[in-house]
Amino acid sequence: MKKICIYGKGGIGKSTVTANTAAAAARAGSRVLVVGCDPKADTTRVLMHRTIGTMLDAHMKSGGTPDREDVLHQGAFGVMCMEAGGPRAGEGCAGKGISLALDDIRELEIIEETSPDLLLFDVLGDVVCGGFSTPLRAKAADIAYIVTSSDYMSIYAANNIAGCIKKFALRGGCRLGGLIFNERSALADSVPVERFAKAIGTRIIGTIPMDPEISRAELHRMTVIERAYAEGRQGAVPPSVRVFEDLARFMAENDQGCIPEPLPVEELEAIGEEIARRAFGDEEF
Amino acid sequence: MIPTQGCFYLGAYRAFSSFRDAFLLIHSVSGCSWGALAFHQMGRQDDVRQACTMIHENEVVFGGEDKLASGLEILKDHRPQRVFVLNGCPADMIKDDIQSVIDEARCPFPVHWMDTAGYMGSAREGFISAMRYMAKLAEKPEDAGAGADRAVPSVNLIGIALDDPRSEADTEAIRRMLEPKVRLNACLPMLTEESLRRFADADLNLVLRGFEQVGEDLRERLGMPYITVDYPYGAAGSAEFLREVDRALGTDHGAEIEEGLARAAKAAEKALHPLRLLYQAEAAVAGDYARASAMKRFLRDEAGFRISAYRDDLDPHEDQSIWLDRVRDSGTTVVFGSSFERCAEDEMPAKLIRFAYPVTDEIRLGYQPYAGFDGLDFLLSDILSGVLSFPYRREGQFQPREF
Repeated sequence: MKKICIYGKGGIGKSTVTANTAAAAARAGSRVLVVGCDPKADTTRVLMHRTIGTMLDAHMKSGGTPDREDVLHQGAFGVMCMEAGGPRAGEGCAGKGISLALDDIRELEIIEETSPDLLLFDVLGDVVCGGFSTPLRAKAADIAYIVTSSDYMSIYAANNIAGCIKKFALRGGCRLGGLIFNERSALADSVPVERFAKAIGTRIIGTIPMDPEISRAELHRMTVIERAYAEGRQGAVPPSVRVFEDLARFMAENDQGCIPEPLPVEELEAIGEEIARRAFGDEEF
Repeated sequence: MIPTQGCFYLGAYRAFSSFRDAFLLIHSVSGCSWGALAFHQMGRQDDVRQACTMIHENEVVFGGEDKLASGLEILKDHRPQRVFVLNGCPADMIKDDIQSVIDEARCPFPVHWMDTAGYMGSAREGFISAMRYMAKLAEKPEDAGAGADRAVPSVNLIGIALDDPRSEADTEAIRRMLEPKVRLNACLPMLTEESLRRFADADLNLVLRGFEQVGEDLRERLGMPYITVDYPYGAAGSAEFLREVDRALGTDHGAEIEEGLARAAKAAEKALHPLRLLYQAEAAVAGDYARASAMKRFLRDEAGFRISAYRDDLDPHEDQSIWLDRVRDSGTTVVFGSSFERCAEDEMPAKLIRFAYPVTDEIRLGYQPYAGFDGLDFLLSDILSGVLSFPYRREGQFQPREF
């Protein structure tokens, strides 16, 4: 079993990567379990074609660990889906919620019972507190991937996440498997992302193209994988589909992860200047 | 306020602090450490074996791992034999990576950690979980049985905490009942390094009612058989306790039982008049299940009381004020409980017999058990003396019931 968590700056496409990679892996015959670790509970929407009840809602309702059937759902291509959920926006402690949901998953022995080949945690935005780092700790996930665009703030967040991964990797926890470069940005440029990846000791393992079919599929509450292979569908397979299929294969096979070395802010700033030079020809900083 | 409910941390603290050779490091705010210590220390002021990392607001915001690491460093200077790290709710909420900090500290003594956040459950659940954790520390010695007198079977006693009232005296009374035909090998959670080493060498575990899960764990992991026993209150309770042991081990305490029952009858004869006056008087009982259920049985079946109100920690959700109202409304003469029931004595014409945790307003020095044949003398003495000293007794208002 590969236990993987996906991190990255808010809105960078983590859920898109997670859901589509899961769909591609499941379509290829793997047993896949996706755990959405975001209070918004939107990771599995395109796999389930709807939003599903969350673990924490069920926990509240039952006054303790909920029943398995209330929280585990089966979506497209048989992908098993769960959403941790969390408090309403602006209330409570979402980080504690994530750790409680993961405790419930352990208590219910969901991983043992479902025995997935691929377990994907899709974790909210940045690693903002101890709760959101729970999947990085020993025994939760083995490999983390960071989704980033070539926007400076996205790389900045990736660097921050790399620092957190380093801390837990040194303690025997999760390692960094690589960066996933999302071209969905006004400044889609792989060069600074490659420079950043090399500098922290990793590499880009996949590039998600700017493909409007991804957004279109999401509007239909589907992954682009499902929509591409839907019965009766005409036309060529969208380019992003092959990328997600490659990513799914890579994640299923990859055992290699590094202990990243996050960059000091001066080096990050230098990458930012390179982005500006390449995108706008700016030389003065 | 629901005293019998408590919190998970408090129950776990009670178990871990019962390990006499161990030091406790409380990774929490000061109140968690102080509150638990206050209950623990009242009857044993010579027994302070704990420190607190003192989580403040800064740690909640920035994480408490550095403070925990500092705490472990400081402990190294004290050279403890063993350390249990307990965390309160804040450390669990901020998800300090406690195990990793412990691993990195490389302490030259064993350091154990169990997540003991208070909101994880009741004190009873925390107590049982911690006992189960401690039971895992017991290992079958390679030279099992070597040197021990195998002609005398041995037992472990499971379920009495060090800060339970009369814990040491009751354990001693039970040991005196069992020996010399059966040796009391070790107690859980009241362990020492030495008794932990020989723990798995016992022939049988005597598990107080309600703590069977601990016995099950030990049976599954180490193949140790167990029986469930009631807390041996009263002559009949003590006799039954010994009979259970005899049935399991094939020993014969017949003579000891006979002698104990004769002693009890003699004691009762000495106090026959006040005992007759108390026949069918109302008694209320509150405490942990192991003690409270056994005390209820003793009072009802042996001492002739009527049980007017009862509560234990199996179903601890009734508020204390509602429970006390029930006691008040029932015309109870004697309340058996903890110091939390003190207002029964203050507000009502009722005597409080402090037999359950926590007891913070009574200190007993020396051997004054309530358990076993020895304990019956003390128990009856306390009940009768308490009732006889009622103010209204002196005013002639206390009248015998018809029987």
